[in-house]
Amino acid sequence: METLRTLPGDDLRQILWRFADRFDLQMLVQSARSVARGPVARLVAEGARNSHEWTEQKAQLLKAFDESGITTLYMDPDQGGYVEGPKNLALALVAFELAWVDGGSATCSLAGNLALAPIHERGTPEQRDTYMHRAVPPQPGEDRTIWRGAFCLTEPLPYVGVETGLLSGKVRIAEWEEGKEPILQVEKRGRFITNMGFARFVTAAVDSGDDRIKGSCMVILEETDPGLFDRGVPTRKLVHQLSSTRDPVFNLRVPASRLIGGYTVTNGVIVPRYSHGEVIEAVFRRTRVTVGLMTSAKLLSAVEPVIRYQRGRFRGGETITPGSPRYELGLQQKEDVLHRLVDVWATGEAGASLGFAAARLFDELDPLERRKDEIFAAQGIGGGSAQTKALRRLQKEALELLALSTSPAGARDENRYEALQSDPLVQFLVLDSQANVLCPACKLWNTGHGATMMREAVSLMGGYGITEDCPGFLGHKWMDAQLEATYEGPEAVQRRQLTVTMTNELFLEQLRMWIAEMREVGFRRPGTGACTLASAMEAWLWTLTHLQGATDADGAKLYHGTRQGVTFPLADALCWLLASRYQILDVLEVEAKGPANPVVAEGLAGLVNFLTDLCHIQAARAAGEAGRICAELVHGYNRHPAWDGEGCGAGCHLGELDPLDWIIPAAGGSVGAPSEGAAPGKPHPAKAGPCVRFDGLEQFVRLRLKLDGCLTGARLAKDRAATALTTVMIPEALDYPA
Amino acid sequence: METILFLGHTESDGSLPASALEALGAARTLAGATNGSTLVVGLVGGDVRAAADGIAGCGAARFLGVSGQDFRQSRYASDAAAVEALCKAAAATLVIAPGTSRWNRVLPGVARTLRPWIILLDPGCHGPWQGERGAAKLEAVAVDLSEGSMRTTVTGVQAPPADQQTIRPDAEVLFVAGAGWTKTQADGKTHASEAAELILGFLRKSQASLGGSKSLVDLKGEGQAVLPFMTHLNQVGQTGSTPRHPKGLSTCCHGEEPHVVGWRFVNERRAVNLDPNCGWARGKADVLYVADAFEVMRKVNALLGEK
Amino acid sequence: MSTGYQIIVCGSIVPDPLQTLEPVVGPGGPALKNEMMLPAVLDPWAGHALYEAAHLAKNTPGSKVWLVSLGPKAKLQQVMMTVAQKVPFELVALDGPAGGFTDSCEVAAALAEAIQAVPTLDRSRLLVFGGWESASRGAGATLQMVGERLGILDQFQGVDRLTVGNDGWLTILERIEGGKHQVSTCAGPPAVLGWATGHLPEPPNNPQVGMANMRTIMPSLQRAKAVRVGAEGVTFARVSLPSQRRETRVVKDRSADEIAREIVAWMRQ
Ligand SMILES: Cc1cc2nc3c(=O)[nH]c(=O)nc-3n(C[C@H](O)[C@H](O)[C@H](O)COP(=O)(O)OP(=O)(O)OC[C@H]3O[C@@H](n4cnc5c(N)ncnc54)[C@H](O)[C@@H]3O)c2cc1C
Ligand SMILES: Cc1cc2nc3c(=O)[nH]c(=O)nc-3n(C[C@H](O)[C@H](O)[C@H](O)COP(=O)(O)OP(=O)(O)OC[C@H]3O[C@@H](n4cnc5c(N)ncnc54)[C@H](O)[C@@H]3O)c2cc1C
Repeated sequence: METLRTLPGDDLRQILWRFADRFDLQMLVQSARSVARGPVARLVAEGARNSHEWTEQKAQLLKAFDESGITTLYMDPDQGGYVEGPKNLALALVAFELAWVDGGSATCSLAGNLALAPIHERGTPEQRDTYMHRAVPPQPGEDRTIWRGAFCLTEPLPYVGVETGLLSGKVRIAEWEEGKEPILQVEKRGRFITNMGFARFVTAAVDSGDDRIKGSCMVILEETDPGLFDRGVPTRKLVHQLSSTRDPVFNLRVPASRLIGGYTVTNGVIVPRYSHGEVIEAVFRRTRVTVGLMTSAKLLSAVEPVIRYQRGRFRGGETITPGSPRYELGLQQKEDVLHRLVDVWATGEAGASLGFAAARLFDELDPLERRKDEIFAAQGIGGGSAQTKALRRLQKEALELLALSTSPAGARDENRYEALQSDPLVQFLVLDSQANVLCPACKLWNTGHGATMMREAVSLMGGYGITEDCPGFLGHKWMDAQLEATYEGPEAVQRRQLTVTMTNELFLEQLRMWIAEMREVGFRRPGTGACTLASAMEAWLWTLTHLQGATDADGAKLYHGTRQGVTFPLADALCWLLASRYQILDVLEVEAKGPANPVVAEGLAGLVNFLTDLCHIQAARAAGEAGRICAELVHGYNRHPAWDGEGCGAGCHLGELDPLDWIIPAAGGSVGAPSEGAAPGKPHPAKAGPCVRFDGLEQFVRLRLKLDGCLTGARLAKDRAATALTTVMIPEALDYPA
Repeated sequence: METILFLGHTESDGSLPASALEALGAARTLAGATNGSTLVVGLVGGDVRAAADGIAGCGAARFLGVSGQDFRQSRYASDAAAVEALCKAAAATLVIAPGTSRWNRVLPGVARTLRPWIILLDPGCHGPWQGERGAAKLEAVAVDLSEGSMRTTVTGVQAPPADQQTIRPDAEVLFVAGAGWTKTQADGKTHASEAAELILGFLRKSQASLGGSKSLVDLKGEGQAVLPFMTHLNQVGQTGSTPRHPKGLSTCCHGEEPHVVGWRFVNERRAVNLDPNCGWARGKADVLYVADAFEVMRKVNALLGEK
Repeated sequence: MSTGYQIIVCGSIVPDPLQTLEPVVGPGGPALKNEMMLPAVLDPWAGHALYEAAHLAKNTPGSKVWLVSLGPKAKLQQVMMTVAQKVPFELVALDGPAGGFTDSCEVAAALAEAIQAVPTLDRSRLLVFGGWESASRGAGATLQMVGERLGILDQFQGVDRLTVGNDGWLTILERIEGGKHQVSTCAGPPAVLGWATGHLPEPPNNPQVGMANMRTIMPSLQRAKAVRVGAEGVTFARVSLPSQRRETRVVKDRSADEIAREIVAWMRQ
């Protein structure tokens, strides 16, 4: 059987992540890569991470970003940028390349965009023009210095962190002369604010501290505004030291025109166009995907150095002669290290597939969202709850569209289908419901589980792994992943969001379609594990529906916002399944498009075999996780029957029970109602109590059992993938210094 | 029935370079091994008489020469015309010539027009021909240079002053410096000027030839701390030179493949590097000293000073 | 009369030297293992030539740079994603093998033909640039043959610097033995210059330059003519890497003094 010959190259990645026809993005990748593996890697190798301060040495990074087009990427062509249209995928690719070497450098570049994002997403046209232009590096002949920004939401304890509502930062009216622009006094303290070492402007979230200002808002602060612009002390970070993080203090007078999105005056009260919540929602839902991809990049970046370490592990030993297995294969003679590396690789692939799919989805969604706002504006429907209400009315149509899209052409009302499909609002609703799940899923799973797997990668390097000398900076990457799981909303925030968005009927309807889709893929390409995944999705869906209606042993509702013990694990389980789905879809894409590219075609059969095996391994792992979580949730809130407790009332029978009897009557050998307990006069069997009965859960047990069976073959796939790791050709050396 | 033409050009002093004697040796070996073949000598230069006499005893059947002021200089157009004339006069079927910069420049072009087999022999591939001087029977071959052949004039040679010339092709030892010399050292600082002193001191005392890694010679372009005497001419490796020396000592250089391929013709190799896992450790050097090159070279210089 | 140079840079692609380059003999003769799948880079020497060309063009108004490149189309395209970001140029792509096992004579014929087909070609302004050798074949023979086919008799190899005098004369520094440079003057184009390192650093990537170049690069790749180049009449008997592997003795935990003494003793052997 053909197997992997070389490590995946750009040609493959372009097809896999769907930018084979985007030359602008391909160039961008090269550009970002040369910054990452050049100046960034040199900084890390020279020990620039060993200080908390923002140094001259680190500041070289900003110059490298400017020169290579990374800084301007965020802008539209009319603002001085060079990439047309939405840029979510573009930004994701850049972050991926930078994080391949150092996550902090990615954060540093990202934070500049984050500062601009409120203005980009919600700013007035004038604000957008002003700040986007200023943030473009000066072109030849221009005499100005670039403006870099910081995004300031988080505050010193006990204020805003995960709970973004608790703002202590305040905005008041300092001066308001009749007929003139009001002057505001903005007080804000920040904590952990990235780019604060050099930012010239800050987009800050503040609450009204004045009756004449309504609600909360985001406001733009500039370094030269009158008052206090104190950058504060550097955060003593253990991670991402190539970004600057500080706890700043601001107390500044700014004109009201700095309110992001503008304002109106009603009855003598300034009403900001957007609350801070509305701004940050629009911002984070995009930038979080990028963060998720950073961790996946690290995992994939670990593959080459680990293989090299494994192969060379025993070379140079006196009795180890070239040509001997110990010399050529080194540690790769041992199954475990191969299997673990396969797991690291598969996780990286799945995370990248999920993340890039999410980024592409936002690229699709962005223009629709703009269109939606235009339509609503024309109808006089403002932002916020008015829009939400209007959209809710369209939910039925969106569901109808989904239903029509699954019924075969000809057998459905084509006119209706066409009409719904070309309705931008309906389209928006469908994609939005997906994006609302994919974004938190990517941020949560890629970083959280990614950090765990990064630890695996480090341990595969042995002691070397936790030294500064480890090729590929794996130790740094492990720690860095923890920050990626934390900033821009830690895991709890993502889980909370998923708790809500994954129960949206529009999303669930799509999930049902995906189950059918995966079955169909499984039929065509049994080796992908798609069928396993479909079974796991079914079990998850059953569990969600069950939990939404069920109560615990004390009669309390199970699926509820306050019951994070129920909702959060279920959200985790979904993430596993989603990542696995996108991984499989990507491999299908390569299989379909690979033959047309001579470079990919050359080794395609082996490549597809290997990637398919990774899919299978990942699908099995995802199914296992989902199955475990679902089972815990379904059973775990019921009280175990006791020998003498309620559980042992009328339903408690004599004899030893085989739980399967309730499901598959013949399984335990005893047909009919089994009985359990002690024969009169004999003690109970030495165990916690009578075995549990599955009344009402038969279908779940059946699903779970089926799921176990679906794991068939997954370990064979792992063995094959492991063998591939022993033969794949790797470069002589890493292409960045260590 | 091969007619093997050994092709040489004279140096500015009229002599043949060592590499030419090696090529002549190879041509003779080949002629000896090929039944019924004839060896012909063809020389180009301002005046090739002395050179011809110097190899009079090589056993060639004929000695052909293109001489004159126009052929003193190493210029494509005139050299191409001269070589073409020599090949035709000799009716050569095979040409063997030393791989000098002059012949490397022109012979491929001649091959295109004449299509005999031409072999350019890298220096060090064959033992030099050794024999008595004599009086060669030199046949002058006339070459008419067209107007178009004179558009270029060689005006001279640029070289660093003798005491700053760090490239010494005939040196016993090749000393290679890597980018590590300019990197932050254990004390958190860089020590470029001390590095320069140590390296130059060593070169002075040992008369070694200086090579560098690409990373080091590229630094100049990137505007970083540099060793001023290092240029791209010093670069050893795939995109640098492949010098020939009996011994090579590498310092502060990682020993990556694209660099080490340039060591193909360095017989004995030792390296000093702080990193026990550097490339040299992996079968690329005979001995790797895991040590601080600053310290080691300080001591080496002291010892060399004692004599 | 229009002024400025027409600079045509001949340059192809080579496998990234950090890859494991293992010669194998296949049905079509020798090749590198998995060569098609390994990432490629612009030949480093050709790269220097290209940067020098762009630099000269920038400083000589009215000039234009072409890159004539013979290689597998799909790989050329991939390499262009980096190279196109460096400096402005127009690509002339030829689709064919780029490895080290093609005959430079056949390659030169294809290149010369492509150069002659460049519209508006004006010999009196023509400078043919390229690397003085390539990192794949390393023979340093292609450019001379291109020059011969174009009838250009002013040729220079191992060029490290080109300066243009007020009178339009070219002053050229070529590498010669012993770390020296030969200095020549030439009465102006046409000329062939095979570059060594030159004196310019590699320009940083600039996607904006890349986007501008892409407007001509993609069409050029799409219409790239397939050319057959091989090594007619040549049979490769054997291809192998120089056997480099040594039994390395790794000396650790010794004082600088001891090491220095050992090194000096070795040098004096
Ligand atoms: C290096 C770095 C850079 C940063 N850059 C920026 C920046 O540029 N701008 C900016 O505004 N902020 C920035 N941050 C702040 C970052 O976004 C916050 O640290 C993060 O949102 C978590 O907030 P917190 O630290 O207050 O954690 P806490 O809110 O105290 O959370 C502590 C723990 O409790 C859990 N938790 C909290 N609330 C809930 C809940 N409701 N349900 C369940 N669990 C909960 C959390 O998941 C976490 O595990 C940065 C942080 C770091 C470390
Ligand atoms: C197309 C291409 C062509 C190339 N061609 C060439 C080429 O022709 N020649 C070439 O050299 N490279 C070439 N390279 C580059 C090559 O891959 C390496 O990047 C380069 O050789 C590294 O140089 P270095 O070892 O000096 O630097 P580094 O990799 O930075 O290594 C520095 C070394 O110094 C050591 N060090 C630091 N301080 C001390 C100390 N006090 N004492 C002892 N050791 C110390 C470190 O341990 C380290 O090993 C090419 C690369 C490409 C992509």
